[in-house]
Amino acid sequence: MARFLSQSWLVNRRHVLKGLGVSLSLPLLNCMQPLRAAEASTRAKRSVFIYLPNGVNTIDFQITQPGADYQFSKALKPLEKHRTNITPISGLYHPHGLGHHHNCTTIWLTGGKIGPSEQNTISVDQLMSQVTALKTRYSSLELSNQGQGLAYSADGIGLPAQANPSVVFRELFEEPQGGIAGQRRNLHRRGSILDAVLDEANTFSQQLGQEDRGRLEQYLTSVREVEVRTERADKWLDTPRPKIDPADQSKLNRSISLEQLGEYLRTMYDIIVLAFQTDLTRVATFSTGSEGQGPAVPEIGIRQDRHSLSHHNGNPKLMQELTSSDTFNIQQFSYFLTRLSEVKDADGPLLDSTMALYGSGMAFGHSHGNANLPLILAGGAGLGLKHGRHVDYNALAKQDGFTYDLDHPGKHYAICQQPVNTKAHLSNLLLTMAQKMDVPVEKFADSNGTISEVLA
Amino acid sequence: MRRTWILNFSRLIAGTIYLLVAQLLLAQSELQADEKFPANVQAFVGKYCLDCHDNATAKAKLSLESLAPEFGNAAWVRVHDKVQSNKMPPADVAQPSPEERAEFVKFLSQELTTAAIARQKSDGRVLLRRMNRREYETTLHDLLGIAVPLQNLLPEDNPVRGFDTVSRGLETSSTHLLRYQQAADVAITAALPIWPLTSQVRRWTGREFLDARPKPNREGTEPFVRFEGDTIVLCATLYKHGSVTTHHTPKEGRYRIRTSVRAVQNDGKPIPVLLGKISSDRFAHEKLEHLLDIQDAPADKSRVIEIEAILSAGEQVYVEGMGLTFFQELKKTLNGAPVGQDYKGPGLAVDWIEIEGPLDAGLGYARMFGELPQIPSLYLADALAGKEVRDDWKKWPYPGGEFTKYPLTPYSLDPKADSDRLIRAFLPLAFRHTVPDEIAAHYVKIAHDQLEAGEPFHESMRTAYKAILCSPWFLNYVEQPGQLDNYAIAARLARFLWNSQPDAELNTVAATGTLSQPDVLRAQTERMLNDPKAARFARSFTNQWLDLGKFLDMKPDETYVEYDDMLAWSMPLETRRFFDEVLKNNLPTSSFWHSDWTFLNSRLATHYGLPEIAGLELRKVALPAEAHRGGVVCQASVLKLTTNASYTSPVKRGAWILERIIGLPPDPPPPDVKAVEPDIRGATTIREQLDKHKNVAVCASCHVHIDPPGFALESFDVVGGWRERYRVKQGGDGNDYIDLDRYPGKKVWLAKPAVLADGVTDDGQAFQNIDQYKQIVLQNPDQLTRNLAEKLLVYSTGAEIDFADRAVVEQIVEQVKQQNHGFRSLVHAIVQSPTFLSK
Repeated sequence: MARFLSQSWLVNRRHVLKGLGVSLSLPLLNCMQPLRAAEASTRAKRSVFIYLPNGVNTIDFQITQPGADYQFSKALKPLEKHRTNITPISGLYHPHGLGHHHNCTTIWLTGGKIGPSEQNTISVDQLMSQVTALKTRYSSLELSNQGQGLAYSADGIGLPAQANPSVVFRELFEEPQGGIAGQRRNLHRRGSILDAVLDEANTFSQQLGQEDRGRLEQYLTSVREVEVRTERADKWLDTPRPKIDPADQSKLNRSISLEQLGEYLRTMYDIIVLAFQTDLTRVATFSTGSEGQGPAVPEIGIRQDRHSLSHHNGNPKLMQELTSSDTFNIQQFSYFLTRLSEVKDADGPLLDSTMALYGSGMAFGHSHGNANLPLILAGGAGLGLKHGRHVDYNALAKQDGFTYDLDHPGKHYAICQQPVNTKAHLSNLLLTMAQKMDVPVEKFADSNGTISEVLA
Repeated sequence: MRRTWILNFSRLIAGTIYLLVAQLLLAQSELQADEKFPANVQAFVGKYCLDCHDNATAKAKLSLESLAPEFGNAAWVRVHDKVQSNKMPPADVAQPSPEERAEFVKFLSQELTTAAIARQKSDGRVLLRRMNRREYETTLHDLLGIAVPLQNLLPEDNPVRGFDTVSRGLETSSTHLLRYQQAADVAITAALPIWPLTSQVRRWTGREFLDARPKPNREGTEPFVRFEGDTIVLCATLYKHGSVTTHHTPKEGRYRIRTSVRAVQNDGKPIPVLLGKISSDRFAHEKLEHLLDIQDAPADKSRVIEIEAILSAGEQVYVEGMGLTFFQELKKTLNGAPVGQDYKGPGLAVDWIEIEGPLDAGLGYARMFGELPQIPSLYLADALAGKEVRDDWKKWPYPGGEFTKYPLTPYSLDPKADSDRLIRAFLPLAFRHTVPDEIAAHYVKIAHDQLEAGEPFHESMRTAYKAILCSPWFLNYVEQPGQLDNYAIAARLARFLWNSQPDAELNTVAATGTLSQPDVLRAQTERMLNDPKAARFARSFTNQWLDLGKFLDMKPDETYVEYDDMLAWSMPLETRRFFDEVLKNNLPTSSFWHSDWTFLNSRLATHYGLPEIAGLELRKVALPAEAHRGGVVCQASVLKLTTNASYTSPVKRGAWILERIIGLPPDPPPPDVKAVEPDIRGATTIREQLDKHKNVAVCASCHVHIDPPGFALESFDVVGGWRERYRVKQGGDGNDYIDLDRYPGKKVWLAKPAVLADGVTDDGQAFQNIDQYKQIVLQNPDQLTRNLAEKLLVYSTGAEIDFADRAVVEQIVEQVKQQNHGFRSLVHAIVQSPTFLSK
């Protein structure tokens, strides 16, 4: 047990793993640095990624003028008051997403290629969390209201996400039972079990074939990550959790049914704001619905789920409902930006230190078109982002610009199906954001450059 | 159907390939892949493929010039399938002769089989598989005799091919590992009650029940009941808290509830009895959530109703006579007077009600602590010091009271020896295998290290048990490449049919080494299918295969005024009872497609417009010729869960039927498909919209398959009711506002156009309605068996069908065909197949 608290413990773990002849992915090694050594000297930098399933009614969503003099589209109207803090981006896509519709969520933040023999890769938020984790109690926050979230580990494994605001709130803000001594004792027990499990893995691995050993590697990586988390939890034990205003507590610590979608979304957004404000974490992902059944909006009379609406087959009523649903979701995002601009940390409004990316991995849901993805980048002025323009990669592709023809939907759907500008990879934006978070990378997934248009 | 010849063709070669598969899997011979293409294959590729699939053109990103002859590559499977099914070379270029095609296909087929088998031999088809969270929960429940919910503590699993058992989707993250520790803690705690807990039967008569109620509750109930001796007669429907209930449960667990009931003064008709849960959170539940079962109380002669249920601590089960007057109505009718002893109206007589449980109480303790004594923690030090402890504590009241402060604690006077002994006995149960000494010693050492560090005995044991339940041996199903050993077969069988671990008998048989003998295996499979735990297989398989687990997800639009709780309860139950019946009586697999019987109650009979049935209990009913029902495809449950909330989509239903029931899922749209212009205003019905859609060539290739089942099922609305016109939200040109058949007082709007349910299959067979379409599909019963064989093989083994498995599937189909396509025979054939018996 003493071993567990000492730093040499970590070396022991690596030694055990090496003995197995199992190669481990090493990005976590950053986290193994002595925790207190990494005090933040610069301002806090934060990122949040929010996913809208099933694409949008792109006819009512698309902004048609490039540059600073653009007009807000019908669905984006609720964002007008944030004009100086947002950048709508058109024309980006994931090359490995084209023609697939089951993995839009899965690769939205990874840009990965998934196939029978290809595993997903790390998502950009997790890459960022490797840098920010040293400074916060939690390395990242994963939220998703229906099943799979957006975050993928270094091995490309989907990280479980939490749907219930009440559970998230308690995990983040409530002191676990048992006081510091009791918690420490529990952590030590956890440590003993991990030690035991790792020792055992050696024997276990001898029983396995080559492919199964690869599988075991996943398990061992998990053990090691838990050890890091246990170690970190132990270090943080003596640091009290932030005190939360009782009014906030009763507002946030509750379960809300998806029948009240707006209430639900705003509560989740409030929790993210509070987690950022109290610096419990600096990286968050939130999937507001799954591709299979993106939520209906009963409070404004929309009873069909977003998936059914997106397969509207040109039916005007369904298209109109899809626009209403899009607008409703954008309104809630606008609320989130408002909250971020109202709440301040030592360096000013949270919005200035927080980059928020909102959007979908699908553009035109009806025939699974996933080029020209709907995306809004917001905030992060203090991190060196500049806003106020519609960055349009469709227009940038051509010498004489690009003319949208929304009166002939078929033409517009075609550019949501096949990219106008094949170089305009979404990974470029993810790379740009990672660099602004001080992640020392020159390339992310299939990136071929950065998005210089949003840099100050 | 056009695609049937492919299957016939594959059956021709299946026999040979199957022998190869069986031989290679079960014998331990080695096979070398031939790295060269024979001349005829090279000629075939040059003549018919390279125009498009050379390096320069590489259509569909495939170049056969550079595709290496490594037949583990899935690209070769695609080549094989396209050529075999006549899709390649495309119709507008030169075609090979049937012989040329057959030779090419045969070569690839052999190479692909060899490659697949080589992989199966070196690594197995099933990648090291961990438990999914459903299996985790039931396994721990069975291991420790507990019923505490565990799966919600674990992250959701990702299904692959529709099933949560497939290894590829079952990944492990650090969150899993943290949660496994929490879940193990919760499970162990549940198995070690802090006060003395044994399974008890607690019964009271109707009179005893009412006498035991606190005064205000009693006074709320009294005016609406009368007595016949000790029997209470409920003359009204009461709020659940006013109705007859069992005692409170002392602890969460599995309980058996029995009650003796009859209908009185009800014109000789039965009264449906609802059994529901009352939790401490009084208003938390919708009726559907707390409903456990509905059974009918017969007229005048008492019957004992029995159910088993998992209940939380402090819960009660109540009974309600359905269809009796609501008590507030009755109060008005009687002007506030009590019903009195001479009341002549109908009532539900309850002679007595009892609750037994928690069943399996003490099992977990016995497995973890054997016969070791327990004592309240207050006296632990005395007991360990050998001092005499007065046993007054045995009279402490519980739940609650002193035990909360001084929980019962197991202790040992020889901790090292006892921990050694107990842990060694527990390990084989948890790891589903005999455990070698060095591994056992490892877990014993965990407890001993804790003891040496000064931790008390029970805490040291808890740490060791937690480590065992987080160990890779417990969490993974460990299987060696090649033929499975007897323990691994037992584990696979238990997980397939019980979602759990082997029981004592199965373990005993595995230990004798005879389980792999066909007759022994068959006998065990029969025994397990007849065990109540097999209900878990039925439930989890139908939840996934037929999406029954998602039944409540879609709430029908409010235009479906007839949709109520009783219908929502009855619909999936029809399908579950139907599945049980097919499995139990070894009925043909085609029953799922069509049958002349189904399970109905009064609510479903009304919904289907069939002759009236008394009572809500479901029973097997012969269907009239013109019922338009039969098979799961015409059951309201399936029809509801294949539509959107306000309109049915032939595409959604059609694709679902192809994928789930017929087993010929449409190809995914090609990646270079051009955007479809869906803006087709002016089209009126969904039918017409689809006809336009179908005229686009690229769409037609799939819609020719999807549309027929979709169209045929257009006769069924969003809640599975029969329709001849579409229901709409409101009035409009030509719309009518009419009485809803069979639902007095309810009216709906119907649109003018008639529903069209006719169509033409891909091979040109015309049908007018679902009944005719069903007959067309029934021409090929093999395909319905093949579909279920594939689904069951994926579900039971935990891996997708690979190339070599195809021949095994064909062999299974052939075998089951000889047994009238019996579904139970199919389950046996799966279990006996070389695929099931190998890693």
